[in-house]
Amino acid sequence: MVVRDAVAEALAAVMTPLLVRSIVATLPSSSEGEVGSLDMMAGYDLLRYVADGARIFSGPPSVDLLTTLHDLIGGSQSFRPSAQVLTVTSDHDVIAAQDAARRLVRALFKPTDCVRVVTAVSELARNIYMYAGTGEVRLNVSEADRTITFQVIASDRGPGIARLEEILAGTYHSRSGLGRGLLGAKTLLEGLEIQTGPQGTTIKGVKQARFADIMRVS
Amino acid sequence: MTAANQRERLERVIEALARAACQDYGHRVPVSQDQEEDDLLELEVGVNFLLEDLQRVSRQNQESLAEIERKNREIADRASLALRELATPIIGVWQGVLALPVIGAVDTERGADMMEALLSRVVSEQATHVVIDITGVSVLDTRTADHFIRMAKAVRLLGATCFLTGISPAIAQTLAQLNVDTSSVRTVKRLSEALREVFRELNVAPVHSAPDPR
Repeated sequence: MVVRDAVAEALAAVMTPLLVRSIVATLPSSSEGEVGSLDMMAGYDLLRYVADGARIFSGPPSVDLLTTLHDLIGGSQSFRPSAQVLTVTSDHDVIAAQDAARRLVRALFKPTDCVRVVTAVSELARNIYMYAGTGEVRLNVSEADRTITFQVIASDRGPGIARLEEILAGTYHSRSGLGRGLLGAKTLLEGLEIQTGPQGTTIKGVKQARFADIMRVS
Repeated sequence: MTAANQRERLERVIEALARAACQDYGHRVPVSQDQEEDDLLELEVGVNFLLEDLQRVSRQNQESLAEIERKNREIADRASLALRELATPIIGVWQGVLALPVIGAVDTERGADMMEALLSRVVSEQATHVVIDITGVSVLDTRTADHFIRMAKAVRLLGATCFLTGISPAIAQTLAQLNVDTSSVRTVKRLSEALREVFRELNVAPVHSAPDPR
């Protein structure tokens, strides 16, 4: 089944055929794809679009309706994960990483959490550029069991982070600001994992949100 | 005219409005040539006029948006000196009062340019007050935040008072979590409030005290 028809079917249960037709007629082009073909970015963009359309006519849509829509559009329980890999070698790449992160999570998290995620990615990317010279930032979003997960993996082959324990304890204060950036990323994300040594550094962090929570706020 | 006919015509009006609500302004309420004049016709024609206007304005909007996007790209693509100056306009709001609205991402180079330009203007215009507005900055990481704090401190060293305005609630929460120490900067919610404060300190009374723009 095409996404457009799946949306029409779900909306038909709660609004008049006329309104359904009007909303469905203006869906973005991603709705022409087969059910189950959308990735997280396209899927949630579409979901938000339908939610906004429905709101105009019948008030904020219920989480139940959105859950039904989500499952219909997703084809099963979830959308396909979206991912981005960015090479960081300059100051500009830090900003490119911010932009990529923002695009990825824009439709997924509450605005405040979006800023948190983008800021954390920025801190990690900036550390790569400042202390290792070059490296890579991998961003991806996925979902399972009605929970959305954003993950960032920042890796480099730099000299490694000295005095890591002091940094994470908040007792180390460098003039260049390394300590606070890393500590910041740790507070903004959940479960930051850091592997560091003379061969390089890999840092993983996640941010999660419940489907019901993000849809209630919108 | 039958009730069924009326109902059908009304539905067509509703459909046009519903489509317009979903940003499809190209649709019109069909009106047949030999429709006799009645109240419904007035409604149908009125709605069509409205849709015509909406379509025109929305097209203009899209054109300006595309234009803005194109220009943004142009600015991003070139990193010439002239453009960098344009990217950090420093506005002389009043004698001795400078405003610096910051829009977009602040990288190291732009940050350094901004600092340089601001400090030299403070000296050349003997500014007593500077307002840095960051409404247009969507993300402040520790490094960018530090940059603005350093800028404020430098302004203060030159003998001027510096305000930082336009911090969004999301950025405020993030900064608090990042443990960025902003105690050395005077932060004010909005540009207008900072200006009111400045004028109070300068003893300049506005002729009319206009309500705060939101």
